[in-house]
Amino acid sequence: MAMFQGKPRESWGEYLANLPAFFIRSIFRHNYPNNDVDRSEVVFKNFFLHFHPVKCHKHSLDPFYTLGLGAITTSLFLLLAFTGVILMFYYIPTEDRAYEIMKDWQNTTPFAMMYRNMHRWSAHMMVLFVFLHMSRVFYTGSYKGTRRFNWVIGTILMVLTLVLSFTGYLLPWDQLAFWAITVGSNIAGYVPNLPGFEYNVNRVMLLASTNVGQDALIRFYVLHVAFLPLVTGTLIGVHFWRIRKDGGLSRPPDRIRPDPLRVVQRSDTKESFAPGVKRTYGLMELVRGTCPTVDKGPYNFVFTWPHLLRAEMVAFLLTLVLILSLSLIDAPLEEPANPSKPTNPSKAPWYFLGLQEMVAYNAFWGGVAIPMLMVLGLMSIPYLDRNPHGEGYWFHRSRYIAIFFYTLFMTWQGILIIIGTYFRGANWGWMWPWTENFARH
Amino acid sequence: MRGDRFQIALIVLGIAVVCLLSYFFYKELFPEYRIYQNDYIALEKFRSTYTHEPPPAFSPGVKQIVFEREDKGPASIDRCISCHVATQLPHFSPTKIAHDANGNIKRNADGTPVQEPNENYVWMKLEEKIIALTDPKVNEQLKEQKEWGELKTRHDEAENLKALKVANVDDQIYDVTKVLRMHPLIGKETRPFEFHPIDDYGCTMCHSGNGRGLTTEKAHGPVYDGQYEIEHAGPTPQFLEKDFNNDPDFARVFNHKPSDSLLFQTTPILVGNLIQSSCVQCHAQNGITGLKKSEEKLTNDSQVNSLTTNYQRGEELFISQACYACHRIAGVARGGIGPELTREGDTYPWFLKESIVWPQADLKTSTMPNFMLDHVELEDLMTYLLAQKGQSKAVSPIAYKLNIQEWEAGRKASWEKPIPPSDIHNIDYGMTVFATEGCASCHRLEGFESSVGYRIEREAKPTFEAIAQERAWFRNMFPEDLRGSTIVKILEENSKEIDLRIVDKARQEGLLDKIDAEYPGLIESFYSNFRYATRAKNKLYQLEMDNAITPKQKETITKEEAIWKERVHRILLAYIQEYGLGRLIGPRLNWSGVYRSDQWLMEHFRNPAGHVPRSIMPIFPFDDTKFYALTYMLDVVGKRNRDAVHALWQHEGFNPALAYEMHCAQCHGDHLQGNGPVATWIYPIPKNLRNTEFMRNLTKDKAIDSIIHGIKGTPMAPWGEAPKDKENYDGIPVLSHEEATKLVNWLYKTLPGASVENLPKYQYSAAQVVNELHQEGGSLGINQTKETIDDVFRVVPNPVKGERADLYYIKKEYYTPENIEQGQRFFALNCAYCHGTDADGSGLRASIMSDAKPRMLTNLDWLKTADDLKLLRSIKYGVLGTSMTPWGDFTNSLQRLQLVMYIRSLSFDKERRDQLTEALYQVFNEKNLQIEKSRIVGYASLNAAQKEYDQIEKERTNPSISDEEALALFAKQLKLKRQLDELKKEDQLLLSKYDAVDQEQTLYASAGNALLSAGVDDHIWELFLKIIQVSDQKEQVKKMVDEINGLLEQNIKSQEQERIATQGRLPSPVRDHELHAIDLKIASNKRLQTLLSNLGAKG
Repeated sequence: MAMFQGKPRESWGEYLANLPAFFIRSIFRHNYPNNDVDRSEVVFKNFFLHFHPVKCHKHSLDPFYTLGLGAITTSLFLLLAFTGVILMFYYIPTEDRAYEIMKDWQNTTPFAMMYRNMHRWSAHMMVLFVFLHMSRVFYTGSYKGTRRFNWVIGTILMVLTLVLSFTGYLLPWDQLAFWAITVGSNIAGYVPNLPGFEYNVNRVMLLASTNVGQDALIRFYVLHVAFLPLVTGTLIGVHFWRIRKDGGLSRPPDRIRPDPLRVVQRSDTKESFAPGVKRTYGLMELVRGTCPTVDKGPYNFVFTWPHLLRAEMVAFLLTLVLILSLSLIDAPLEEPANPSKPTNPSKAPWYFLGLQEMVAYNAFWGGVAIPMLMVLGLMSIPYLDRNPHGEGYWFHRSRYIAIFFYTLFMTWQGILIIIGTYFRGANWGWMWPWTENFARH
Repeated sequence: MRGDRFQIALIVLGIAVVCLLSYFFYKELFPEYRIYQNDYIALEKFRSTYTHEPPPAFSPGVKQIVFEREDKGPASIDRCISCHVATQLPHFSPTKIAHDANGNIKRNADGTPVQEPNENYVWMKLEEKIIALTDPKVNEQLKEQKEWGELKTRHDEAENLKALKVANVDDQIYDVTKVLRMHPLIGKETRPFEFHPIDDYGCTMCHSGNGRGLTTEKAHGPVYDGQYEIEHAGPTPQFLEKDFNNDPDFARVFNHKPSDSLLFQTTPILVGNLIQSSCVQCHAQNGITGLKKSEEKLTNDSQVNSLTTNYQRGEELFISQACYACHRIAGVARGGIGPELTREGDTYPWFLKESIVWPQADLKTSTMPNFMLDHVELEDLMTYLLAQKGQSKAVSPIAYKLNIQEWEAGRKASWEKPIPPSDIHNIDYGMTVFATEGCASCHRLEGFESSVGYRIEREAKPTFEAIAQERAWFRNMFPEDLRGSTIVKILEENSKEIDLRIVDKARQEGLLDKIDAEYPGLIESFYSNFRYATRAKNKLYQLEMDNAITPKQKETITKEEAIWKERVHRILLAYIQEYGLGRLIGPRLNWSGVYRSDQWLMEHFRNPAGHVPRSIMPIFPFDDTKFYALTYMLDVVGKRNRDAVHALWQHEGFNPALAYEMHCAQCHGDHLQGNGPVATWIYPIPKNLRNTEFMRNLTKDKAIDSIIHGIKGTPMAPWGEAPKDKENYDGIPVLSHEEATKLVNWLYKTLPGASVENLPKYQYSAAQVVNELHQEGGSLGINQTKETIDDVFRVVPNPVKGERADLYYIKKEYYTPENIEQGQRFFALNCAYCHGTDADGSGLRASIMSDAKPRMLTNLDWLKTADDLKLLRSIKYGVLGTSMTPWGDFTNSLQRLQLVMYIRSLSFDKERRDQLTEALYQVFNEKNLQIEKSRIVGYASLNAAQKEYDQIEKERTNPSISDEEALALFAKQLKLKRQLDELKKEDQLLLSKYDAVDQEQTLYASAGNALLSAGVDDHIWELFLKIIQVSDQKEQVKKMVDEINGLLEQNIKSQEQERIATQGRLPSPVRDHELHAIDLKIASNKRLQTLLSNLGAKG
């Protein structure tokens, strides 16, 4: 009787024939994900995909719910990291070299201008999309319940994005950069000084000097390429991780709930932790959270591969197309920084023009107090909003007051930025965009 | 379904990404410089087809010249030769150097090689080839023979060759014949870069531009042929008429601001003559004298001289257009009003042009007038300004620093030095200064004469009537305000008549001829309309010249052109004699010397804004002696001009309309609406004489008064005055009282509703003021009893015969801090909106008022013309015809009185300052003037003796004369020498006396200023003024100084007592502060004492 004696040793011929598949399996450890098991495995076992869940709710894939804003923002961050590293290969952060290098490099090196444009446009777009993403989260009430703290992290990420953009603004070392940073750091200087310091310590801490110069340049450089990206990257990781732990993106409760009585207990421990059990595997049973039921497959859940990944891919490509098209417009490089020739008006980067506009009315309130209150106020929204309804719905009826005030706030900031950008001329005087504009030299 | 949608989106987006990336890839694959390099290779290949030599080796790619810096800073890199690959190849030059039969280079008189057409010019050969290939006859023949293949190859080849000539980059089309071209030869060069090897100098050192750029836009900045993208259609010189055919190239370049991507080139490329600004970086230094070596280089090297004519003219213009009076260039000019121009060469050329043609473009509040410079002047001036880069490469940093320090320490430029006394009473000298050192840039002055005149003058001595007739004809044909095209039209239509009536050499050579010979182009520089006319036919004659065949035709054309230019110049000279030399930016100075006293003129020269607030006239960096000369010149010329006007009145009777046109229209405008050519920069704006309300409110009497005595503190001149402090005073004013009356009648005649009613305002009396005060229960707070008129007002009889017999001033004792503070409060609340918080007439609403601006209430000269009653009246009833509304309903009498006191109190300090200046002038400057006058007499004999001495010296050293003669001459010379020495000693004595007076004046001035800033009381101040008056008498000075010192001592004593009292208080920061203040007061009083004791000792 023939006994199974294990797998027969393969011949050299067989071995060689199987070698490619073998090699690929050694890398991927699973087959092509065309069945449910492999679809699970591909997400579970792949380093790059593992921060996704194996399955996700169909609602999360609805492009008209999320608008893909978070994915686009992430894509922008990735693009920024990539193009930023390329720019770092050339850039020298010294006063007398920085501008020359920029000029030299973008005139002679292949694709240099493209990378620079992409970096610049991605940075601007990231600021924009962070705000859009935040608005989406607010309007869908997604910061409620367990997601409260993730909103706070998001706010911190927003501030980090602004600071990243701001620090990067100085690096070309042209007039635009120089005076924008001078204005920006002056705004920082409106924070009341600590008693006993001769110079405004806040400003000096930012610039490493009393004015924008070599010290400021190197400080901004390190902040821009090392410190802030690390912090931001880490916090982005935390942001994602918390989403997963909160059971995916926010969504309205399922209309047809699975019947808890039909749940068949399969756990080996024969224990149930709660009525209407929602259980899953391993340790997760011990922690509180929402998990899909297991018996017949979670209702409305689909595999991440290909559904979610495909959607993310679309978001990424959409971003790439947007950025590449914008890159047809060249990033400006004005005359070299000249501390003795202030531009008139000197304008901060556009996302700070709202601040600058407010500073024009009152330095302390506009430059320090109100922005501080704005950030703190945004952070405290989830803790102030006691309305339990509306999570997962765009513009839920019960939240009309919250929506009204949030919209009012954002519109106000938007108007300030538009005024600062288009309606302010020399000496910060009012100027219609279509009237004769006076020169900047 | 949803899955499909994602799938489709993925595919579409993927394709989009690939397309965009390939676009970027495409751009990288075909850089712009490769177009030119490929063209070059093709051209060389084409050339080898007829020279039968192999094309030279050429490896495509980026080419560059690198200059490492010693300090390891970023190297300077020029990549220009990546595109301009043929800069050194002779067969890329349309001309070549001519050789004579021996093979030597033919040279001009100045050593520049003669150039002739180059028969090896590649582009010419290419053109020939294209013509041969597209020859219709040959092609017809081929067609007949049905050689289709041959026909096609010929066509293709022609197309290929044609394509070499142009390059399409983005949406621009560039001319490759300009890119691939040999660098033109400069001066004496026989091959390109002979004197400036390109490997040592690179390209950007002369041409500027961004050497690192590899595309046209990046490297050149905008290409100034108007093809670049315009971001801001800027200020084309609007005042200049456009004449596309005849305007120089410079008229078109730099007029618009390039778009953002082109705007911020590190250093934009220099075009045309502007490159000269680079030459002087090494070869010469502008007025920065003291750089002996480079100066010598310039003067000796006629080559550089002849190549930098525009730059040198720009330097002259910087002086003659008065730029130096407002702008500072370290080492040259000390002006402090406008921006410093020491490093102006670092700015952008279009910014420079814009700033000159439209000074308010960048800074709205700029007070620089538009000088309406012509393109020619603009180009020269810009060349000069672009060369201002601070330290130049020719001088070592130490030499430069030393030079600047020397200059800052007071080394004087030629125009800043004192003039010899013989020039002080020299009218020609004064007028030359007027024309060449900046006055004419803003003021127009009649009285310049040239040899151009009317034909009748040449033939016989004409009568006054005849000349007047001719002049009337001229004025009729050429009104003062003429556009360039109008001049051309008039000259074309009436050339015969003009040539017949206005001729050259009609009289003796005049000053204008001299100036024209010595400073070519200077006179024209003030008249851009005549400049327009001069070149109006350039293109026409050029065309005719091109069409002309025989040398005789060419000669006639050249002659015609010369005649045209001479005619325009002749008319210009006649025009200047009729209307005056200079621009009409400031008032005409024709009669200033008559109605302004010498004192006023001198003070005005020294501080133009002193008597005319907000005057934009800068303080010219002249020595006092030069101001004397100018004053004297204005006196004499003024009298001449006045006599000319009077002669006209005598001849045909006083004509108010003509008088208005001559005297008033410059400010009040041809149509009496207050908008004359001069009005732009005048403060306050000239009155609109068609404003019926205002004129009626003014009344005829007051109007006559204003014309006769002028309005003090404004540019309105006292037309009927003739100050006595003149050299040859004759007491005849420009306008007599009678004439002024006629003028005013004429003015009021055409006003609608001509009858002048007596407004209630004029019945407002001091009694009413006091009555109102009583009725309203107000009190000025000193006497608790009710004030009478005599209590409140100081009554002074009116020195000017006018409407009122007495002037009323509020008594000084009512100027209590409380009253003034109340006045200030009311002012800040109600008046500051128009009159400004500082009462200087610049309130928020001021800018929108058009007919009359709010008064500058700190203008002391004006304030002195009104007594307090008049001010009260204007507040209560307002000023009709202006925005000053009646405040009677909103104020009570007390408030009005307090307001007046507040307004007066603002000028206390200024009043004292004026008193000081006046006293100092009357005592010391008059003295100095006397010394100068006596010097003039001595100097004349000194000059004569010196001349004689030199003459004898010349004769004596002549080798042909005998010994005895020489001995006799020597004896004579010796005698003369002694005489000379004596004269020189005398002059020296006077000079030292002059200096002594100067020193004394400084002493008194500093003492006066110290007293001013200490804010001493009236008594001490009046005493001090008296001291100045009696500064000659030592005893009296001493006595009075002692008196003042005694008063100061009293002050100190009382302050010390106060100190003791304060010290006794409980220690607190407030007490310490007060103690400190008292200490300071005591110290300042003590300092005053020592200062004054010095005076006493000196006096």
